[in-house]
Amino acid sequence: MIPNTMIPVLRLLLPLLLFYGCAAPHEQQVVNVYTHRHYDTDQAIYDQFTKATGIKVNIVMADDDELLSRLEAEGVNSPADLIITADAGRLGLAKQRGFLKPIHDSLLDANIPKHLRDPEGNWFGFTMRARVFAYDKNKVKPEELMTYNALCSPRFKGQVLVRPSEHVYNQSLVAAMIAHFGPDSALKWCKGIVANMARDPKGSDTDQLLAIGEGIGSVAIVNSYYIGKLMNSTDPARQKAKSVIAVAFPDMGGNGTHVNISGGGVAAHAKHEANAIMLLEYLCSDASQAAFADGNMEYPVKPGIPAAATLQNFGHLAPDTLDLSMLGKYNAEAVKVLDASGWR
Amino acid sequence: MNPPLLSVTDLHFAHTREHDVLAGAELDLDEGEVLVVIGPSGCGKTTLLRCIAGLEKPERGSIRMDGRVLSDDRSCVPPEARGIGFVFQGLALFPHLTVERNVAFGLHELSRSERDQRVRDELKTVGLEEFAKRYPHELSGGQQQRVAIARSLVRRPRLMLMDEPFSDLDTKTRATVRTEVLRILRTHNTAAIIVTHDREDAVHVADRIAEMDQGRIVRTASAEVFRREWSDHPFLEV
Amino acid sequence: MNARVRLSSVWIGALALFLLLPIGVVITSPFHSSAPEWNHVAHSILPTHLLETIELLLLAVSMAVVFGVSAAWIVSSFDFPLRGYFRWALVLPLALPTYISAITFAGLIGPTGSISEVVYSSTGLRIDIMSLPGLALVLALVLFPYVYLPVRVAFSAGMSPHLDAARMLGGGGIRRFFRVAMPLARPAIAGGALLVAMETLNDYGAVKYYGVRTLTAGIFRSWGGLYDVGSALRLSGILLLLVVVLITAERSVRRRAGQEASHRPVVRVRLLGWRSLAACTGCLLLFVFAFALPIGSLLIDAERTIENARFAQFLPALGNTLFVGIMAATVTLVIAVLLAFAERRSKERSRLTRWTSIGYVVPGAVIAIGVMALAGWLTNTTGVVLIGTIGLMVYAFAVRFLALASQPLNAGLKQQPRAMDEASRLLGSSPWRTFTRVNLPLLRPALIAAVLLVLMEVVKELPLTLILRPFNFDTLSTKVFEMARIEEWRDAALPALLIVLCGLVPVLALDRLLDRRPR
Repeated sequence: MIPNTMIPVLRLLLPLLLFYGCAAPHEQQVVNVYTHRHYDTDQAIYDQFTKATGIKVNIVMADDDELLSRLEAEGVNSPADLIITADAGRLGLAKQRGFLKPIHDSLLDANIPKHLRDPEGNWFGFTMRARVFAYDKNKVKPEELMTYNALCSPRFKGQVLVRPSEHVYNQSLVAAMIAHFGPDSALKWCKGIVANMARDPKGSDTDQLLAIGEGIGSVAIVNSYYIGKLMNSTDPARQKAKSVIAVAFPDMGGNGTHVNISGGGVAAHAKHEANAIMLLEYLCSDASQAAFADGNMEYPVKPGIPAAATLQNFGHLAPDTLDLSMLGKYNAEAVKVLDASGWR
Repeated sequence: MNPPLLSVTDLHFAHTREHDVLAGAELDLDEGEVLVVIGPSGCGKTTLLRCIAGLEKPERGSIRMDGRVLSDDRSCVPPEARGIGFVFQGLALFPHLTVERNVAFGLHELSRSERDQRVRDELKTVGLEEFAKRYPHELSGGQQQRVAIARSLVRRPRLMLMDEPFSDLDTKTRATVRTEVLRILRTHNTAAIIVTHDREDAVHVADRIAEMDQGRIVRTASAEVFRREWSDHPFLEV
Repeated sequence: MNARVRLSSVWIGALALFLLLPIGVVITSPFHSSAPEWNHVAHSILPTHLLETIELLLLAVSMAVVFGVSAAWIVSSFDFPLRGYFRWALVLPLALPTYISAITFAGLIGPTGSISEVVYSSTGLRIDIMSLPGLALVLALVLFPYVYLPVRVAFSAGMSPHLDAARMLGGGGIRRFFRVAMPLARPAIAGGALLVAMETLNDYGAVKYYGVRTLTAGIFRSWGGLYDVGSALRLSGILLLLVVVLITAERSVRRRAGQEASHRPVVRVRLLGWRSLAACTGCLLLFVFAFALPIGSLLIDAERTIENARFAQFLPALGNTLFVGIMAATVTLVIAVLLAFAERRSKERSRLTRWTSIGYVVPGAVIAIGVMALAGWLTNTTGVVLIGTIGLMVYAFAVRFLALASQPLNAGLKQQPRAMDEASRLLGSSPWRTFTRVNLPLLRPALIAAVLLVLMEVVKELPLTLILRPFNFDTLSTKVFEMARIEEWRDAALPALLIVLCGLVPVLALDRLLDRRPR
């Protein structure tokens, strides 16, 4: 039924369709990475890694959840060697679903503080970011922002800026609260925030910072990383916000400031396990850690590597040492709490 | 007497949205004979033609041509394998093909040289040689009619079916085309069933006329009989 | 029917089924996947998200219809300065992906947008497009050409006798519009409105950024937030139900109105004085807001970032985009042609092939789940690895965009009288020869339209590409996504412009094509 005219077309198309993209040369050493991170810094580090080891880094970049679905569908045939996400919760989930395999590597254990890696060695955090407050220094005094709960006070009625609850940064913040104090206190906090919101949540973290500049609100819940980027921005549209913003590191019930990590784990069915471990080690090397710090405004995990000067100027970060797998454990609970509080 | 070229027995076809009902239609047709089927609209004339052509599958009854079963309870030969010519009411010329390629369309199994020869001959027969390279929409109604007939006849069918072939033509052209069609049919000794609701068309081209009503052939007689009858009652419409 | 023919319809049925499989995985999810958080989803997420979906849908579609129909009416029935330009220029917004337009508008008239700032400092008024009605407006501005195009064609080709009759009977312009033109163009309006509705339902990027809670957002909330793919699939099923309702509504509107084509162009009334000025200004405003403003803003941003831009990254991405786009368009077209053939042959419209259009409204990421589930299963049983091949991506695009290719083909086929097929059969041609020698050549404009529509959408598409792509495979839209996600909108401007540029070619070609008068 296929007419003769179409046969040459099909002959041409089929192999192209099936094999395009599979044409990696076999003699070269590779490591296949599924990552949620999409920063130039990362690419530069991968390039350095290839230069140093001769191992080519192949990348698929997509959202965490989509990558996990892809891993699930691929099963034992997955080509992935290393899974990198930007959320400890997702790493916990990947471990729970059996997508990762435990690794015991003395170098990784030595370079990464205990609370930033999986106790069983399934995943390892390599950078950290804190969920902090940015505020208008002309309107708010730093002593007013010592704790997360401070934002629920009537003092900040109509002043609080935050992005929609759909974003994982908000979800993991609430998950941490649930882990520490249970869902009821977390719900109370969320309701307090909703009551004090300057506007319906919308936009990105950066948009919340710009809104401070515009005087739409005076305090924003944002990630440290975005403030660092803003402070180094030469974009004229961002100068107004830049000139008024200061940063507070709120405390969560005596435990410190909420942090989340970017981390990686070796895929359960990795075909290039040794290369994957080598890359993980490389990500925790002094050079890479410094690159994450200065190039991408993230907090390095390796002790002794300083954060970027911009971040240091914000003040001292005392991170919550909560077992980060709790973030994954309570994420769904956090979404329910957020839904119940009416946080859009 | 020779067996008839076509014989249709007890043909049944249920009413669908587009087509009318057949309720036991029967007819015979001899080699080279021109039969006109006449009747009010909705009587089943078109459906009868479509069943003979193979465009519809009758529910009951049989159609035989030249001793071969075209359609009965068990089998139904697809239209392209019946070797029957059909001229549609709207002609259905292919607008994207020239006159010449319209006529050549049904000859795809022949070699190119043979095909070209046949097309040239056929266009000469219908008097359209100089229009070979034109597109259908560039021709007059009568010319288009002749293309449609040539397109079917070039395949040398032994039977032609024509559905209201003269209805879109004005009175003057009509008479000319009528004569022309008859001449062409006679040239190849092709039998034809022509469906019309117009008495004048009927008496001018028919050897025999079949009157149809409510899905069956109610009467068949020579054209002469009908002509006399109708001239006695000139104002009575069928 | 001979055996050969019957065999081919079996094959084509199998093809349709093959395309429906990933969606089948989604629809049947309640039966094969657990949804541990469904209780919460059904009570806390579904009601609000369904409500906001319907609100957004009503607002966006009605605004798009108002923009599209009035622009089409003005352009096709009056003469005024610059009319000839507006006629095609008003189609251009189609080349803008909704998420790019939404982000750009937020940058201009969002709460901290550059225009908002100027307005605030001079008048004290705060402008904020980032709300549900604001998003509806943005979507309507981008999507109204889906209404404008078919309605313009309907106004200019089909109705001159009716309009002339109305004029003879003394109907004024407004009366003619509401009493004659609108009702006659109803099928075209309904068809366009359906496309707008589907695009609105499918959008995730813009919805997420504006903080609007649609069903699609709910799907991702269940999936990413509650870690519950089962609930996400169930929400997709509800989304599909909504679509079935919309399709049924569109069909009933289409059925009620018939329209015969007339080849005589409408005689346009020359407008003078303030009327002419008003028509011109109206079109200009629409064009500026829907296209010139976002493009201008992108150009300014691109100009600012161009010295740091790495063209070395964009060029392969451009190449990949075009490669995948052309591949997907070709494959989708071949499938659409085979299905159209099956449909043409069967007297009743086959239900199976009708359903293959539904992929168009399933969010890309959800189709990806279905596609990956199938491919994973195939890999486990046969060992052939498909995930991460271009072939699987192209398959997924075909599943998603088949409707875009099928629609013009089926519309075109409907205009061909069946007698033409029958004539061909009686001249000794098989059904397939009839289709390739008679139907297809006459469908040429529809075939080109089909390819262009698919190409245009694949260039803009994001989630499917993101999930299913091979290693190290970037397209323009993944580049935009990367930069947008690190909240560096300005860096995204350059690849975004390239996407628009890639989209402009098919959009303009489509415009020319639809304009050609039938012979």
